[in-house]
Amino acid sequence: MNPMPADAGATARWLRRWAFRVVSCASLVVPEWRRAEWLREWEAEIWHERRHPVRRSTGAVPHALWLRQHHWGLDMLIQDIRYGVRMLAREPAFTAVAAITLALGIGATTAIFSIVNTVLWRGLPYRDAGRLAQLWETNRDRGWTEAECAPANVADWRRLSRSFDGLAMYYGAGREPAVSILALTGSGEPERVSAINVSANFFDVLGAEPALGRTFAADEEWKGRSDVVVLSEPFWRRRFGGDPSIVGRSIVLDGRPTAIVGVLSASFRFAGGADVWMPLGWTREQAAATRLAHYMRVIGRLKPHVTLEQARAEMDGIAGDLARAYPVMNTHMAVGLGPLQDWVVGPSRPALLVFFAAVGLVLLVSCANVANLMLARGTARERELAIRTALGASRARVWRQMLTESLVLAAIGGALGVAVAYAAVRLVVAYGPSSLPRIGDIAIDAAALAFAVAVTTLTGIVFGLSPVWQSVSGGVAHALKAGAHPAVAVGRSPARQTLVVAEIAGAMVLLVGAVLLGRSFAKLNQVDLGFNPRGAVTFELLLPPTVYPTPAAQRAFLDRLLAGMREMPGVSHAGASQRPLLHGALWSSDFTIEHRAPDDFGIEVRHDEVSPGYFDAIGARLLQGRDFTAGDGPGAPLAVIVNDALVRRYLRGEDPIGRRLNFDRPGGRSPWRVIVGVVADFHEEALDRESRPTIYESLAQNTDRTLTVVLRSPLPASTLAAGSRAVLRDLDPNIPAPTVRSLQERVDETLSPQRFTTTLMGLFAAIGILLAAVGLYGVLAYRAARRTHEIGVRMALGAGAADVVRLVGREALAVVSIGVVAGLGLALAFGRLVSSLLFGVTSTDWVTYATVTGLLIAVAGVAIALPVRRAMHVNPLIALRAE
Amino acid sequence: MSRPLPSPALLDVLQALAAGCRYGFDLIDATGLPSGTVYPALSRLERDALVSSRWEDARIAQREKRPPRRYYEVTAAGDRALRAGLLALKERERAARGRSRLLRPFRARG
Repeated sequence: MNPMPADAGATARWLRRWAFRVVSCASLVVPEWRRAEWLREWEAEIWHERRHPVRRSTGAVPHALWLRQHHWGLDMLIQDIRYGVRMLAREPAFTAVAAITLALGIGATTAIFSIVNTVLWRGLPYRDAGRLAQLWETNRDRGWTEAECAPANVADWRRLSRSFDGLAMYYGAGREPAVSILALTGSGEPERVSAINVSANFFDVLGAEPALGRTFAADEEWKGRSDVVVLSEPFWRRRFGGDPSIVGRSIVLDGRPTAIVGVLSASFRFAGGADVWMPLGWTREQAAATRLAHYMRVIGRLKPHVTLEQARAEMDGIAGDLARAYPVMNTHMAVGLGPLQDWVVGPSRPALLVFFAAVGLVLLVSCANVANLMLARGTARERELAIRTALGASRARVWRQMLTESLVLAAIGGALGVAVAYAAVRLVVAYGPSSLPRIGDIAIDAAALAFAVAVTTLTGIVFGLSPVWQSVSGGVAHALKAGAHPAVAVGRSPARQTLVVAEIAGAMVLLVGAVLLGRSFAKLNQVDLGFNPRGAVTFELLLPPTVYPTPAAQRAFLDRLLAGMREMPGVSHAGASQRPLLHGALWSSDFTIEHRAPDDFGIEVRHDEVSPGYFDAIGARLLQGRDFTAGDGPGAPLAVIVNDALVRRYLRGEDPIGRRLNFDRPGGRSPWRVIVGVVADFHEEALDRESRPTIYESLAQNTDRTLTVVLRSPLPASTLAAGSRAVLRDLDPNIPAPTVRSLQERVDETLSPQRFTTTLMGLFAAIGILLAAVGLYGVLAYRAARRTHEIGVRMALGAGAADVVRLVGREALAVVSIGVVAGLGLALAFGRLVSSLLFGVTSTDWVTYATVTGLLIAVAGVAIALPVRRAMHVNPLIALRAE
Repeated sequence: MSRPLPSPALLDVLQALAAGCRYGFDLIDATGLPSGTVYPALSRLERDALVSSRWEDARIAQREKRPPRRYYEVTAAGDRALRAGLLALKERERAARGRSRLLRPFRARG
């Protein structure tokens, strides 16, 4: 570049100075947040401009005006976000703690929301599912509240009712459908296949369309035509490789050739599902005449415009008519009905709602904690904000900036939270109790994500506003002054104390819930089972009816099986019963003891059939008389063993051995059976249900196709499993190998819903108390640090260590005690919600409340100890020198 | 997402940038447009993400004892918009030429 003449250079400088003036005047119009950058750009260009600096500088005015006009919000938001990210990055420890805290709260809430939403709220996957109703029978004499229905009653409902488009049936096992295990033979290794038997109209009533072929035709419900099967989609894929030409092929199920008529769609769900679906396969006589035995579950589709109440009223009338027509069997037999959705998800509702409440508390505590951190930080930033305000930033601008910052923080927490929720849901699906309906469908879906976004935004706003409120209300002058003299800034921090109180109260409620459930779970584990689950294994068998059609064949198989089992090395006892342990209600009947008055009979006595050695195998105690022997077979006098509950209730003070009873009301045709022994009560139906009067028949005198075998041996379950399978294979290679499990496993499995509830609640409580402790510590440490000067002065004036402890500790004590008292009140309300999940503990259990209070105080003590210690070691000299 | 085509002034600025101009005042020289047109055009292009900007490396500027300037660059989207805009312009020109030929056939031959 050629140097210009001196006078020309002076003119150029003079012109450029004017140009700068124009630009700096114009800059006043430019929006504040981009003013500095704008100035730099224009000044640099003018610096480089040699010829027409002034003329070109005039362009700055329209440019500035344009920018003012197009002061777009999004750009400013990006600016705010950038600033927020910078501020957060400057304090990584704060950001990390806050983000993790939020991630826990948002993650837990989102996970539970997705479970609750999927299980409880989402409609069932059937056509017009709102019109589906479950029907059941109740009987106040027998204490039935949700009993299975008698087929003949259902037949009469179908005939008489006008409310339903159809009533479908399936065999019930408790609330669930009965799943039978069939042997699929013919090609390769025999396979165990699960099957649910349903009425022919079952799929029509549910509105389920098959993916291939068809579902059942009306006459396929009846024996003789019923060798047809519909495959579930997963089974079709697994076993037949998704062969599209499968319909019309035949497979051998339990030795019987069965035609495949259809494949269900992949989206079909019913209870726990099954590999294959089969018709009921019974006779018209059974359907029309079976009124004493109750074993059918019924689903109805309400006609359009018929309400549940109308249907209920109609069914009440029909049940009344039936009670009058069949007084012996139907007295006080009433019909209950409710939405199918309630039936499916109802039992899990209390636990899930408890979780939802608990997780809400976790979110609350984590929010309070972050708000607390923000407040502490807000105090530290008071000066910064005050300066910005003093320099002309509007109050709204500062608010918006702070809010953006907290939303950025919430977004980080929310993103982490979704990851937490995703992992948590995976865990729940993998390890959750199988009793949780629709558990396989739980996933972080669009609804859950929307929920997470909503929660994130809300938390961001909630905790974001707290420091704004504090900083702005403080006023500029105060903050500037306070910054200059830390000693003056002690003041009080009611907002932070309130937050800590809320955290402690929340943690208290969570802890009470967790301890109540934990104690209840412990009580369940301590239940005296009456049998010994340790050192025993069990498996279930279902003999194919084609190979073992008669009781004699079944008996022969059983004898050889038990003999083979007893010969296995290490097996001390082997026995069999018809029903597995802890598998829900046994069947029940009336019964009469000989030589009693005609109106003296029992209703609702439970039944099971057991082999010799069964009581020894499960470890139950025989109180009187003898066990069954090989002699109690067909042809021998019918023998029964009764349990102690029956003796206590019906034979108190009498010698039961040798007494005779039958399974009917007085005058019935049931044969007399003689009591040969009394067995101590054991929990046969469920852990949380007391043993009821039960009669055990000799399995040899009432053999059936279903068998549960129990072996007692000190050997590990895996060894026994291999041995049992070998024995079975020798006996009949066509019986698929059963799953052999230890009896303890079976007991544990029945406790899995409670274990799940307790674990989850414990986890929430742990998070809650951890966060509360951190919050408490944070506030106290901060307060103690801010009072270092004051403490120094007091010590210089002669205050001792005890005075310092009192000074710092008094505030902590106040916060903790208010928190505990508030928490106790809330916990009582929460306990009411939890009470339906409890066993052996009441929701006002004082041990729980005492434990929790103690625990909280201990944790609070730890959180307090550190700041107090630090305060005690304040060196007055150093503290005062800081002045 | 389709955006309205850039107006002629914007197109000029875009084209000058694509041709290698980098600073605001260079663009004024290249396009011959006044600074009061070029700068708002640049800001509009930047808002629409057709152009991106960054500050020149401060070390280079320092070495040359001058303030750092702001660089503008055409983004990929800007490149597409430019090509589409030029194409549309050519199209319009062709149409206009066609029309003029119809009106003045003899002149065109002669």
